[in-house]
Amino acid sequence: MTDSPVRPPTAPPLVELRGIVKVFPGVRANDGVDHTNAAGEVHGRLGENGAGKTTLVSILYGLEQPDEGTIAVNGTAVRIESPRQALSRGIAIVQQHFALVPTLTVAENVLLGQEGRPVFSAARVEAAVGALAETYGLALDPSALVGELSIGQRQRVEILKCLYREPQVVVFDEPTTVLIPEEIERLFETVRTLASEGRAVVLITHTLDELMAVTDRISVLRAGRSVGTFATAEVDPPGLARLMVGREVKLRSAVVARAEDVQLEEHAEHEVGDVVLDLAGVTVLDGSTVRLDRIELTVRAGEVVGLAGVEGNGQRELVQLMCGTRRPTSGTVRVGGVDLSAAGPLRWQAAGVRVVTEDRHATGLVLDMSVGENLVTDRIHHRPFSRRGLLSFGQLLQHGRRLMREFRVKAPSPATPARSLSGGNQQRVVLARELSADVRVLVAAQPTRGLDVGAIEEVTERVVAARDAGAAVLLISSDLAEILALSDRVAVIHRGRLLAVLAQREATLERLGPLLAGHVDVAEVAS
Amino acid sequence: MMVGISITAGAASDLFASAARLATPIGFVALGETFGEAAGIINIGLEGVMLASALAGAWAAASSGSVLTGFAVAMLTGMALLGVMALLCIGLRANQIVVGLGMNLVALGATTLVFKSVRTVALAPGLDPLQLGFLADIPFLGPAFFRQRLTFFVLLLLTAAAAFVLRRTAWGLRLRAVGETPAAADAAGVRVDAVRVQAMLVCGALAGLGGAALSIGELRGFTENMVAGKGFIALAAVIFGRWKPWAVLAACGVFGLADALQGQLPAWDINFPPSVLRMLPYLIALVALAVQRGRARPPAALSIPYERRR
Repeated sequence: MTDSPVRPPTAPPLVELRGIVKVFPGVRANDGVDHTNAAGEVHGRLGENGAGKTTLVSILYGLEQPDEGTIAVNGTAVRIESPRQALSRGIAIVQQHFALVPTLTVAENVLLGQEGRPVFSAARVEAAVGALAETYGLALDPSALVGELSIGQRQRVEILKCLYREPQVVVFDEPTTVLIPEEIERLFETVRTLASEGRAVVLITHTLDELMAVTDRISVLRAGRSVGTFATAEVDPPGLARLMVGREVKLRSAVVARAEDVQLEEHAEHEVGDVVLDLAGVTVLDGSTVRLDRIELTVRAGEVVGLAGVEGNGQRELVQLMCGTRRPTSGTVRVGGVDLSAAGPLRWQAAGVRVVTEDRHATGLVLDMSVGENLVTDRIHHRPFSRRGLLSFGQLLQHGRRLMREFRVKAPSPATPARSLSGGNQQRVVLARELSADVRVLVAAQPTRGLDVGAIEEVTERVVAARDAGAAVLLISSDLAEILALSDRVAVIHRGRLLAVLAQREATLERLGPLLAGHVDVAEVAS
Repeated sequence: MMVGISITAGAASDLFASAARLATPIGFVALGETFGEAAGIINIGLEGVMLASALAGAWAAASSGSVLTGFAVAMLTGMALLGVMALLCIGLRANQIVVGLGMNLVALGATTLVFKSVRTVALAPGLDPLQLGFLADIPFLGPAFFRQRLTFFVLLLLTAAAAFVLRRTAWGLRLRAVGETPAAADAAGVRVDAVRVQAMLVCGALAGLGGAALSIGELRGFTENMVAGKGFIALAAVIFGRWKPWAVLAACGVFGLADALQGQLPAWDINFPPSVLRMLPYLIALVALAVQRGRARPPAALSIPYERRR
């Protein structure tokens, strides 16, 4: 990379969007949005889920065409009709949902679309990609298959793909939702490096502290409209949060340093009953890979046990176990004393185990079905929804309307396809279905991932309410603040093993931090 | 039923020779389908494409007297038919299975109709087996593999070329990306639909060559429904060979061997119900696919038309 001089933020904008309007059926996703980005400037865009951030990015990257408005790059008005055109104009994007081919190597993914010559040598490409990764401190093996990488590593591949094209403008769309704190810090270093090289960086997020940490300017979007643009040095987080949601919210920082305050604030006294969920020596093997290793864990009625851990350390397998879609290789799982180790999904549900899965798109909802249908997928065979094998649409609609009201699902009607809802509303649908059944055990996996502040607050309240109603709650999350705020006990999982189960007062950041990274001894010494 | 016999080296050599000969037309088609499936297009209509190009090739060879013309016309026929399928499957995002089924039904009807009115296609010039110098005299291997027709050697070359193209060229990389995660390829600036159309045209060219390898190369003429399931066997070979050119070719060899046994067993005085023997290649295909399940993973976007989200 060349050491281009840093231009002051007063330089003419490298990219400029004016009066962007984009209308989707029933919603003005962007309603007269402006965006300017000078070279060397990090411009943050803040907004709730569904505020129109992703639509704006899609327009800049040619995935969507604006209904009104203009785009200028380097002072020249342009039309961007496809990602190809965006790339040829020096605009690259690190997408929220990774656009990677799992069956290709890191180097092949980087090369894809910009091969240059018709025949390539794998060795040479891997060397070039490896060198680039090193320049930006992105630790990666260029010959590894992308399908075998962790989420954080995949994001680094995405960043490499962008950098390989020498872009002038780099857009990060919600880059931190899948990262652990150290990875976030590393990502921000990369962002700062990019800006110092004279590139324009757009950072899309709904996490305030991240914007405060890394941006030069911040623009707030609300319901498709620009609410204002500010120099980062001149604004405070509570003020921005108010602008973002248009109402007061209890500010819940994702920055771990503040988690302890939250913990004290939200923990009220409550009754804890008998053991309901009991895992004894549970081991799950995938071929010869150990996914879960002799897990011993109990959850009592009226208790929240938080399972902390970096994603991909066995949490998914644990959730599959509780859904009845995977059986332990050895060990037993009991619910209320009944052994469910060999039970299928129906028996798990009948035992009152309700699961909010981590991926609402893949396992939580059937996106092409309506909200009303999604609200009964687990009980569609039963009265009153089904009589002698025939569905009762009246019951379905009535049930849908009732739950939508109760759980504040914002959708035109129960007949609306689940796909067209925002992330927060989709999660409300999942919660409504799971919590409207008899809940003895609630397993909530990453329940607030990707949600905006208001929705997080609401989901958290629902989980607490389930606990207060006597459910045994297993909260699986990679967000330590969330774990600390809600849990009576905290278990830490690493490489399929429970490294510790700590009482609330013992679960301090000093103890949890090393455990998350798998350092048992260090943790014990520290305590 | 079975009698104890000792199969001589000569008999085994004959068996492999006819296996290689019978596998050749299937090999071309399977190789073509490997490209198509790598790009995410499944072509159930291979049987029909093969049949139509077998007829077109035989007709062109018979009326021009030139084998080369026959092969060229068969290849163009395959490409034209795949072009039509591309128009439907990619241009109009029609269901690939339905289009493929339609292709088979139309091709069977149309070729039968043409065949009944143009009887001359029953006889066409053909290819004679080559004698590749000293190679042909190697014991066992010589008679089995080095006295084959030109088509066999062309197939080997094309397989090598296919393996290279898929692994080592920019186009091959794009092809694999488009078949696995078209959205990712799109975001990387690859024209998904264009790459898929190109893959289909390559598939058509190779399927056309396969048809001609059968009608001109081997049987010197066209007969009604002469493909008789070979197009479907080619589809099975692609799965059996896990979408890798050399492995796909080997799978075709296995099916060729099963086919060859049919002809050879009676010659060795082994009595086996001929109806069971005729089932053998298809039976092997079924068993192969059943065993294969779970181990091989097809391209993730196979048969799914690509549309940009929202």
